[in-house]
Amino acid sequence: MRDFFRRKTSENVSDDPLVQGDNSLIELRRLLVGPLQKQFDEMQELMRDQGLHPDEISKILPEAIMLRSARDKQMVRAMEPLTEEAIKASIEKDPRNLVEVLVPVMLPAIKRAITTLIKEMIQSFSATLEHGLSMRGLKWRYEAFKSKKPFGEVALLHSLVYQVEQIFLIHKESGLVLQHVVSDEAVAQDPDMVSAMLTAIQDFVRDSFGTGAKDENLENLQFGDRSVWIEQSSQAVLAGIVWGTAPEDIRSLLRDTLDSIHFEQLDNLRAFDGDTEPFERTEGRLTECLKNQVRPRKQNPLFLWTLLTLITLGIGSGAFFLIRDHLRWKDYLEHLHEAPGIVITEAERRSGAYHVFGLRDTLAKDPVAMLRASKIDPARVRFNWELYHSSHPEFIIRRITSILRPPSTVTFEIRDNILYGKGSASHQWIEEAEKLAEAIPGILGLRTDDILDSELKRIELMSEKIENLLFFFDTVSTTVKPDQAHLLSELSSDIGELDRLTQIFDKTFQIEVVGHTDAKGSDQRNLEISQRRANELSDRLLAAGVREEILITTGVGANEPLREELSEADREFNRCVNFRVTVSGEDDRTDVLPDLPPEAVEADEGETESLSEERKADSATLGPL
Amino acid sequence: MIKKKICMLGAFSVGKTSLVQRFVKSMFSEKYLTTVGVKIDKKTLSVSGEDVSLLLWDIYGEDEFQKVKMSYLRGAGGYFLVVDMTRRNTLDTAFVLRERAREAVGDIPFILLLNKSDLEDEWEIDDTAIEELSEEGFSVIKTSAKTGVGVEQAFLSLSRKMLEG
Repeated sequence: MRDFFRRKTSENVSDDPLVQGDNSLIELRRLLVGPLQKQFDEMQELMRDQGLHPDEISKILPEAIMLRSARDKQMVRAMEPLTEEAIKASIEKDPRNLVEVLVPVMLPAIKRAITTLIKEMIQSFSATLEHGLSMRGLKWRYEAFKSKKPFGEVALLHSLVYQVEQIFLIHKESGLVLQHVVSDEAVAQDPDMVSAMLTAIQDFVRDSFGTGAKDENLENLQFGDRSVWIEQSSQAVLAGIVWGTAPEDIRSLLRDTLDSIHFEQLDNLRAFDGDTEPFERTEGRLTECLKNQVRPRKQNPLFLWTLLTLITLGIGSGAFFLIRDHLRWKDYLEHLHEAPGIVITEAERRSGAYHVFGLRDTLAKDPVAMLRASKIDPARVRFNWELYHSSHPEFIIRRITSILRPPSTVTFEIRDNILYGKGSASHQWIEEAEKLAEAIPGILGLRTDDILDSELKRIELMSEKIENLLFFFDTVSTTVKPDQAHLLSELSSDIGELDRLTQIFDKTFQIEVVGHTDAKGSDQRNLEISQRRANELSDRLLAAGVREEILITTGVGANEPLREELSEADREFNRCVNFRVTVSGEDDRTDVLPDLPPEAVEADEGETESLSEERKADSATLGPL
Repeated sequence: MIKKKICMLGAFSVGKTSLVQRFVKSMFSEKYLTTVGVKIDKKTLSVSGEDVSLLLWDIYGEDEFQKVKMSYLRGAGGYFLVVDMTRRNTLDTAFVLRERAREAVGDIPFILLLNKSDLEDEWEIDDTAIEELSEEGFSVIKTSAKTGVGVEQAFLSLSRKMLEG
């Protein structure tokens, strides 16, 4: 196509006269397609050139590499084998070329590494010398043996006390702080100003004492217990404020940290213009450098003595309580052994608690109550009792007592397996007790010889009371005096009681109402009056409910005076009615009755009556013991 | 926060330390000036709504016995050239320091401070000279450490220049 146009163009400039006539046409064509023709020719030329010219490539290559490198890692991958091959070829050709390039870079690093290593060795050696033969050293040797670490390292680890208080990441050129971390315990001044001053001091030292070599840097500043450890790269400075004596590997840590930051932040470091935000992400790395080691505090002697005293007191107290508890327990067991109704078969201490095995009568003392009396915590004792009936006399008597329920006036005693009762009781209780006793195991029988039948005694007392009662009359009168009328109801009540008591014993009784007069008057007259007086009392008693067959009346006139009449008072006394009580079919028992006060007899009677019903119920429910 | 390093350059006794003394946070004593040769102060400004922390390197004054160590200027974002208006020769020293600073750190923002402006009767640098300096491209601000005139403005102006790059 291009040839065609060229051909056509060449035709345009032909000198042939035949074609001269078409000049106007050629001119027209040039005007119409000339610009297109030119562009077409250029395109044709470009298509014909299959490769690019080196000078053109050289113009765009650096920019192209930069653009691509910024986009991804393809360029690096592409360059990697080429670079390796190039380095190999260079070394094979002349190793000195590479050595000359690397020495200025590597030598300071190697020097620093060796220096650090030597310092570490010296520190370790010093620690070995210092602690090698001490007791602590022997302990550390054992630890070193166990952990398979050199002794010097272990000694150093234990003996150094330090704290990396602050870490400054400083932009090397400007001295501005890029990042700063500080330990919790440390007090930090304004890091920007400290950093700037530190940089100024470094410049000052370098300018004042340096030889001018670029790798000369201030590595350490010492002030009292604190020192500033400085590590530098081409773009940044890492300064650690260290309190105490730190191991040299802290410097290695600082170096490694700085190298890492330098590698990660190289672009930011180079482009730093005052904005510290990109370096905030280095805080974590810097914080890792805030190492410390604190030596265990030496024990205060006072503290040790106090501790020792407390331990002694503790042991003493423990022993005291232990012995006290043991004695209490021993004493308790003795009491338990002695207690009637308790038989201990085994006692032991197990799992912090006491265990007691044995036999126990239900009537025996309560072992738990005994524990409290012995000041032993009942929660610490476990009882394992088997029930049994003790043959101890006390228990037999208690068991009998619980069955017979005697009144409080009766006591028991066992002799030759015979139960002897003593005291006083109601007739009914005595009878029932004699019956029940036959069924009680452990005794052959009950002897009630020494138990006073209280109701028999009461018959006697009641008889005496009635017989001692007198009703007085005025002269010739046969009417009971008004001031004695109330005695009639009491008398009738006593007679009724006597009637009841005698019925208990199947006895009968009679009351003879005897009328009396004074000696004045005729005998006949006196006999009549006395009879009428006796009748008057009898009538009044019958009216009060006394059975008729009990009463007989007799008038004795002045024949049986109660007093010798020496005065009017004696005569007045003899004008009376008295009573004679006759109980028939009396038991011999009354012959042996002791003289008891009437109150005691009444008390017995009351108790007996109240318990009689209970006893019946109990005897029905009690089985053989 | 943006941080910038600013150096105070000038002949001996032109008032560099006095200029910053009243307007900055100080931590170090002035003895550093005679021992290390520099004292660091700090001032935080708000420039166009952005906080800028200025680390001021107050460098000892140059005289016939000691020269300013240009290593202190390394990494500086800008500097002040301080001149005592009552001593003409301090302006010459400033020109020398300007050249040496350019050699050391290149063309970074700076402002020429004509200090002790309150002592008008003793001025040895007249307005004509000041105009000439302006025409030569110098940013010139009259200051007085004694009255505080122009000091805040000087810091703001230099900060703006540094941030503008």
